[in-house]
Amino acid sequence: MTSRFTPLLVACCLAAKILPAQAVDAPLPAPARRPGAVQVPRIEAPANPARVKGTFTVGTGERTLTDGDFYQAYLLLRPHEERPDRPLAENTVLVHILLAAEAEALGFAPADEEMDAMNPLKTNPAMAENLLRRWELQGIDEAKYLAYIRQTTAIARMKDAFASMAVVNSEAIYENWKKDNLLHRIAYVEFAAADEERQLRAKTPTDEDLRRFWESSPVAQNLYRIPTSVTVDMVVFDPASLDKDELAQLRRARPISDKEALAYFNKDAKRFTAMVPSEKRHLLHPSQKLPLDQIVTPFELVRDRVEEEILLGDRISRAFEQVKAADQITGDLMKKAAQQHGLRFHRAEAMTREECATKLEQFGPNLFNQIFNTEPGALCGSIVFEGPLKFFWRLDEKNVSTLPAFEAVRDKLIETYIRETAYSNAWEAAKGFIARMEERLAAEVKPEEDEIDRKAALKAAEDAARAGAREPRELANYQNQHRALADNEKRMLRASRAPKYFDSLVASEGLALKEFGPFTFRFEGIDRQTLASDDQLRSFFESSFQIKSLEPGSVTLAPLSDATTRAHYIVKVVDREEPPFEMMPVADYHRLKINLERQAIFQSNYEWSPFETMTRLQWKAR
Amino acid sequence: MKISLILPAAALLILAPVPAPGQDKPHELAREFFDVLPRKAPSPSHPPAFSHSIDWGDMTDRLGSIIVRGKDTPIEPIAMLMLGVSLFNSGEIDAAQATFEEISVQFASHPLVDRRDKGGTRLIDSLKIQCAREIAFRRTNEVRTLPQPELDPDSDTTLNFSKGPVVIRFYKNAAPLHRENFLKLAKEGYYDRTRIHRLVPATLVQLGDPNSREQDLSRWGQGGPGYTLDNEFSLITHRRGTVSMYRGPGRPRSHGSQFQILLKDQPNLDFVQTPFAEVVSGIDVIDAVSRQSPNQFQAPVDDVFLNGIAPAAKFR
Repeated sequence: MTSRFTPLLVACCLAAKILPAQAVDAPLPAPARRPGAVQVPRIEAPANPARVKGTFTVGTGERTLTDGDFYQAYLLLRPHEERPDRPLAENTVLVHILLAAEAEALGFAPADEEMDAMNPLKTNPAMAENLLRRWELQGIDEAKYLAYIRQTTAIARMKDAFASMAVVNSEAIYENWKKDNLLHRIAYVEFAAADEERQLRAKTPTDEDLRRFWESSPVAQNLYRIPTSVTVDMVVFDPASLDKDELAQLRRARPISDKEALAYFNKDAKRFTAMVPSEKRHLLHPSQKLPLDQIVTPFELVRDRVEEEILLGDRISRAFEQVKAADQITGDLMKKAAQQHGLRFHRAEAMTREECATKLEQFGPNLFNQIFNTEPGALCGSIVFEGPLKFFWRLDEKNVSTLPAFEAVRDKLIETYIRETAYSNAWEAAKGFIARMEERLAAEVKPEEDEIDRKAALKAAEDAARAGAREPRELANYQNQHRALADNEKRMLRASRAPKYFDSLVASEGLALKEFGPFTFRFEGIDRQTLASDDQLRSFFESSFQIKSLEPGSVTLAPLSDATTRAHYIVKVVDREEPPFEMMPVADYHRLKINLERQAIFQSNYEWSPFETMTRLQWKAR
Repeated sequence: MKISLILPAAALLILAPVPAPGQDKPHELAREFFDVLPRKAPSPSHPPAFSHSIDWGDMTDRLGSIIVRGKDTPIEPIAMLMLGVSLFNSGEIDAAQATFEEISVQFASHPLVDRRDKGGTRLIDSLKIQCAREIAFRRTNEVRTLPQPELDPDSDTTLNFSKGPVVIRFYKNAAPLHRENFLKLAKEGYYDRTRIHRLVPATLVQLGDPNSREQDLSRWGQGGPGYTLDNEFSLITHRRGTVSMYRGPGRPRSHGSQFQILLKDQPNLDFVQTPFAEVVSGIDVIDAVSRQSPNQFQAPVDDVFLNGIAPAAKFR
């Protein structure tokens, strides 16, 4: 009695005859190589398997790895992890050996009973013979398969266990939080536009002042500028505005066959498909299988549009050709052509860019740019298609943006003049304060700054000489580098010395020194215009990168301007302290904990990298 | 989360019932232990699970049971180490420290216990140091946490998409402002006939923009009600089925109306966006949408409308 496996046996024998015999450790065929690609050298059988490749330490015991052991491990991995285009690298095999040994030593290797549950020959005996044959072709036997599974399972378990053991303590979370939430106290002098405004309002500005302001202030000019506008004539084919009765009559007079309609559709299928009404689009993608006669196509959904275009669409072409052929193209000509061909005529008078974008949005977002770049009187180059619309246009008139005459805006300018001039005067006052402070400061720091410059020049010359630089450009590079470092050092020197001059100048000039804080910095992108005035100032200080960059005791060496509070500030950082833990929001605690956990978990992953593994297990190659 | 007794692991050994002989084979216990492990080593397809999304109380109970049943088996020291970690993460620091001390004594020469890091510190010692620091910190600082989120079964609200209905459920004790805002907008018809305007295949869909009613795709994703919401972070972790308020990159606050329905776990969004509901049925509707390829504006090629929202009876 023949076994039911006989046909299979026969097939396998035939396959064995047809397929080339493959020795267990025969090399895989060489892959095709991309030009320039780095070829990983194939691992070859060792000439001397007993030669010691290296040693490593697991636990307290040193172990020896021979070339033979290494090659056997490679043979274990090869059927599962090597590809013709990606041979296994030596490092990969080595790291596998080390990690497998480590995992085994740490107790992560599956027990023999577990291996039975992972052995497909035992879990699925019906397929055992087939599997064994497949393995034979791949150069695997049961023992090698189980060895591979045992090692990779042990390594995976070890990695998972260490990832699970990552812990983060509250102190680390707090340390991480507080360095971004330090509490600052500042003292500042305010140069407010409001104070300057009071003085300006006390006297009436002269015509000369106002004219000079009008001619030089972009703020004022933008308020009253007459924007660019265009006047354009358009002839439009709009299916939505077609006369339904006329259309019905035309359909009766000239029936359109499926073939003709489909041919027309296919000429511009993408445009027509985009015209499918959005509420019907879902019909094109039914959620379940439908009979053939219930399937809907885009052509069916836009069939009416296709017919409209066939019947009437060439009207726009005829109108366009007619207008184009005329000696002189005028608006009246376009209107006449529109009427003659049953199309819509539209004249848009003095449209600005914004008006084009809103009132003429159905003609597309780029219409204004196209029109603006043409000369008055010119006709567009071709018919424009925008969704269901087809149209052409002629630029009748173009008025480029202009400023009105001073006399036309003189009276309206006064308020703007006062506000802008007040803000500008406040800025000048703040700058003046800084200049006086720097003057006093310069007298003290000049010798030190000269010394810094001298040392920088010397260092530049030394570095250039050491590098053998001779060319003027090379020498200049070294000088520039060291000059930049010197400038920074001088800046920091001034910032640290400025406070005492700041205090003495504030006192001598009788300025009001105000304090603010303690506060933490917040960079939240809030619209400060919507805040109450006290909150506007608070938010300004809390979001200032310049103040954040200062050390305690330092002063800003340039005024900080704020258009919202309309003032300029010179700020000294009084002190900075760590916030208490109870100020930390619970959500921040968890958010930072996630960040630190992520670092700890990925840090545990990094331990399995080749470098870390070899270092940890003290791999020494011979 | 179940509350574990604050006892060292040794006490667990005394109090737990003795298993019947031969009932728990060592290899079965080992398999059970590795199945219980809260995290896989991270990989591109496997984002790490963070502490707040793990039920450490339950973890402690299960590990305790494995340890009792696995006494004198190879899994015992590994499970005890993990128990210490679990106790630490559930806030029972004294118990964690006692567990690590016990391991130091009972398994002093075990390779895992003795394993050293780059700086030469033993694993067990670095865990003990963590405990000591935490105990010292908690002596002078009160470490607060957020409540465990609970879903409200009476809050089921139906989103009627053109492809089918999706039912979402809100939380009793998380993101109340987001829930109220969402329901207010729903009742006003704000979301009616809007589209899913952003699709990341197999990852998420985004909707809730009134601009998505228009034909100009370049404006989709830019609309909103004119206000934003304060973040309301909680211990809800972003996973498949989570409904989360969108928060644009670099924005400090939640969007006022646009929200996302997630199709795969995304713990990276925890404490970045505010989740406020879960899908309880109809996720397959969103899965079907997600199988489309998005166009160049990241919108589904074929429109998917949110025709309307039917709030739960108690919200009407």
